[in-house]
Amino acid sequence: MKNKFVFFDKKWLLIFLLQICGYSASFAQRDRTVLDAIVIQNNKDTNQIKALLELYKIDELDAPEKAKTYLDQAMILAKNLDFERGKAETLLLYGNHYSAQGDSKMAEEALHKGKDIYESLNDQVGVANCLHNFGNSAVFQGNYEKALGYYLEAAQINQEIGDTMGWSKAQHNIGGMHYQLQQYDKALEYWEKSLNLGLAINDSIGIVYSLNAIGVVHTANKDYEKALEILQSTLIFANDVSGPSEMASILLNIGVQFQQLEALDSAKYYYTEALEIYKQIDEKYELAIQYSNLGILECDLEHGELAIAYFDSSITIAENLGAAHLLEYSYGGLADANKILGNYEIAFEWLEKWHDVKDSLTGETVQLNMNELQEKYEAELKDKEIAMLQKKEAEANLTADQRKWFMIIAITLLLSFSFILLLYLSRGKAKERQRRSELEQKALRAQMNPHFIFNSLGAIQQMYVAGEMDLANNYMGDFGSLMRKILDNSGKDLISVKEELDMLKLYLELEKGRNNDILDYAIDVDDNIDQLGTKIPPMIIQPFVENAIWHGLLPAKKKGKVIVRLKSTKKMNMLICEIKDNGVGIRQQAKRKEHESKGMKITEQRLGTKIRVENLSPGTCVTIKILI
Amino acid sequence: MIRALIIDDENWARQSLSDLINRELHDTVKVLGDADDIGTGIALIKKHKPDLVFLDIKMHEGTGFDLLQQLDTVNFEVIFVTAYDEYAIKAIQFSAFGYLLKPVKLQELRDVVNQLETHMQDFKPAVDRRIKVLVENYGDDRKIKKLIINHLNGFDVSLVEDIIRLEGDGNYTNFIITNDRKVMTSRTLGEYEELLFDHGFYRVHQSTIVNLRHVAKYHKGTGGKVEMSDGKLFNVSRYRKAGFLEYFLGNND
Repeated sequence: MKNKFVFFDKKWLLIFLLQICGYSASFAQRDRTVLDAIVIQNNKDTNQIKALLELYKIDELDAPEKAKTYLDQAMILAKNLDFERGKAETLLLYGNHYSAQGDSKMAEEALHKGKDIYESLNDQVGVANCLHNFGNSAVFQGNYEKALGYYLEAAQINQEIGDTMGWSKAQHNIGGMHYQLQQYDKALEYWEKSLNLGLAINDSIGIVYSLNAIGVVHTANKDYEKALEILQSTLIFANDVSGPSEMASILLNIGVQFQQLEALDSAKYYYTEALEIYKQIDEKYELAIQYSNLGILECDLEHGELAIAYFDSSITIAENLGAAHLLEYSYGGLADANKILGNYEIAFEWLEKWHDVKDSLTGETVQLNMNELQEKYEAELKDKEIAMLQKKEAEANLTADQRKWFMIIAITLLLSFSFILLLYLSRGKAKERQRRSELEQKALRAQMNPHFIFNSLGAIQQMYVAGEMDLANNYMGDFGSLMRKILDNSGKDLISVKEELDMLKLYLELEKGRNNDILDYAIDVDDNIDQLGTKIPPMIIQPFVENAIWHGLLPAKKKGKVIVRLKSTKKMNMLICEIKDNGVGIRQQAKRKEHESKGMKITEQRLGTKIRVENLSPGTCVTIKILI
Repeated sequence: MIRALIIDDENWARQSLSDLINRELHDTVKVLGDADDIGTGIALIKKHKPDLVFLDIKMHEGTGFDLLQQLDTVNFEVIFVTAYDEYAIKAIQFSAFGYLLKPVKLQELRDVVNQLETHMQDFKPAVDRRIKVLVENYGDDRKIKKLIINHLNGFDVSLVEDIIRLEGDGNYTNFIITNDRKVMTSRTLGEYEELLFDHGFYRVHQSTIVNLRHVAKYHKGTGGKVEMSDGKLFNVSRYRKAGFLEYFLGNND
C-alpha cells in the first residue's frame, strides 16, 4: 500500500547515440529523383531492388507506412528473381521497420529469416548486421541484457572478418548496454575500447560518439565536472566533423552537467541551443526529450507555468511517437510543476498517470543477471571460434568484389538515425542539498547536547528554589555566556583556538558546578601555539570532553579528572588534541559505543582526519588531529 | 496516598522533584526515598514496593527502560522524567504512560499525577503488559509499532498499521481497526490527531482521522473523498484537501 504513490523522482535525460550498423546499403547515392527513375523504369532487376531499399531508407523516419511499401515491392521482386542477397537485405530492413514500429515479434521473425539466408551465403557481414539489428530491436523493447548478447556476438564476427569500423560500433553499443544496466565501469571500459579503435582507424565520427558517451558515464558516476570537461572538448572536436544531430546531443549533455552543478543559467543556454537544432532537423524523439529537460529545469527555477508548457510540448510529441518512457518523465514533471503552483489535486492526477505508465514499463522488462549472461557467452565463444574458422575457409572462396561491396555497406551506414536511451540518475540537486543540511544539523546536534541545556536549566531552577541566589546567579550568567558563544560561532567555518578554549572552559565550569564533588579538569596548551592566530572549526573538542564526563567520569561515581592537552606538530600544520579521563573506560561503556561512534563519524567528516580512541587503565584517551 | 520513589542520576533533579512534591502535593503523594543509579533503584523498589516511580530515562549507566527490564514483574505505575528525548517521549505516549520534562513545571506535575490517580485502579494490574509495549516501541529499529488505547474497562493494544481510521464522537473517539475491531475511548480526536500526525495519519475531516496506509484511492471533488481499504468512503473537508494531498504525497516519498 505504502508504495502505491511513490512521488516523482526527478531525473534528467541524457543522450548517447547508439551506433547503428544493421542497415544494408547498396547505393552511395541518395538522390531521390535518380532512385525514383530507376523504379519507374521497372527493369525488374537487382538495381531496382536496391533502389527500392534505398527509397525505404529515405522515407523510413518520416513516412514509415509508405516506406514499407518499398520493402514489399522489393521483396516480391527479389522472390521473382530468386535473388537471395536481395531477399536477405530486404528482410534486414523489415526487421528494422518492425522494431521501429514496436512490433518486436515481426522484427525478429524477419531478422531470423534474413540471418539464415546470410548464413547460407556464408556472408559474415550480413550475419553481423543481422545481429546488430537483433540488438537494436531488443533495445527498442528495453531488454538490454538480450541486446548485449547480440552485440557481443556481432563484435566477435566484426573482429574476425577484420571490420574494425563495425567492431568499434559494436563495442560502443556494448558499452551502451552496460550503461543501461548501470554497470558504469564496464560501460566506460567498452567505450574506451571503442574510442581507441576509432582513433586507430581515424574515424572521427566514431570518436565523437565515444567521447560523448564517456562524458555521459562520468555523469552517471556523479563526476559532473569531469563530464563537463570531456563534453566541452568533444564539442570543439565535433564542430568540424559532426552533423547537427550529434552536436545537439553534446549540447544537451553539457546542459545536464550545468544543471547538476546548479549553474541553471548555463544549463538553460545549452538546452535552448540543442532545442533549436532538434527543431531544425526535426528529430522528434530528441525534441521531446529536450522539452522535458527544459521543463525539469523550469521546475528547479520554480517557474511552474513555464514548466507545464514544456512538458505539454513533450507529451504531444511523445504521444505521437508512442514513447511511453518519455511520457513517464513528463507526467512526473507535471505533477511536480503543479505542486509548485499549489494545484495539489491536479498534481495528484498526474502522479497517478505517472504511476500507471511507470508500472506498465517496469512490468515489461525482465531483468536477468548480467554476469551470468556474459559467462555463458564466453563459454560459447570457444565453440564458435572453431566454427568460425571453418566458415572463414569457405568464405575465402567468396569473390573479392563481393567482400568489398559489403564493406561499403557497413561504411555507408554511419548515421542512419540515432536512438535514445534513458538514464536513471538519482534526484541530483535536491537530494544533495538535503544531505548537506542534514550533515550541518547533525554537526550542530553534536555540538550541543540538548540534555546539557535542559539539565543546566533544571539545576538553576533548583538553586533558586533552594535559596542559593549567588550560585544561581553565577550559573545563569555562565550558561548565558556559553549559549551566546555557541550561537555566534556555530555559523562560522573557523574560529580561533582561543575562542574554542573559552567555550570549553565555560562548559567545564558549568558541568563542574552541577557535579562539584566529583569533577575536576585541566586545560593544557603548548606555548608555541598562537591561540589567536590559529583557526579551527568550531566546537570540535567539546563533544569529546562531554563524552569523557558523561560516560567516563560520572558513571565511576568517584572523584575524577579530565585533561585536555593541545600540541602542534613540528611543521606547525596540524594541532593534536588529547582528551584524557580516568573514568570507567570504553569497555565498560560498550553499550554506548554505537551512539558515540556516530558522533565521531560526523566529526571525522568535518575534519577529514581519523580520530583515535585508546583504552587507558583507568580511563580513556581520545586523540583528534586538526589541520590548520 | 500514592507511595512514590524517585530515580534520577542528577542530584539537583531528585532534590527539585521531591521538594516540589513535599511542598505542593503532600496530600496525594508521599516520597519514600530516592536513588541515583539503576542498582540502588532496584534495591529500593524491592524494599518499598512503591505505587509509583518517577523514573529518569537517560542515566549515565543505562536507561530507565533498562531498569524496568531488569525487574521480574512491574507492579507499580511509572512516570518518566527526561530533559530531552523526542523519540522516547513518543514511545511513552503511544504506550499510555505519563511523563515530565525537566525542568519540571508544577502544573504539569499536578496534571500527570491527577491523571494517574483516576486511571490507577484500572491500569495497575496490567503495567507489565504496557511496559512490554513500551519496550517494543522503543526498540533498536526506532519504530513505533503499537498503540495503547485506554477505555472504560481498561485498555486495548493495536498495531499502528492495523488502525484503519478514527472517528470523533463528541468527547469520545472510535477506533476502527482491521478484522472488524472497534474500540471506544474517552480521549478526543484532537488529542489523537497530535499524537498520530507524524506516524502516517491525517485528519481529513472534523470527525475523521485516516491511516494513510489504508487509503486505497482518492476521489476528486470539492473536497473529494478518500476510499479506505475496507471499501468505505469518507469526505475530505475542502479546507483540509490541500494539506491532505501534500501530506499524502510527501509521506509516500
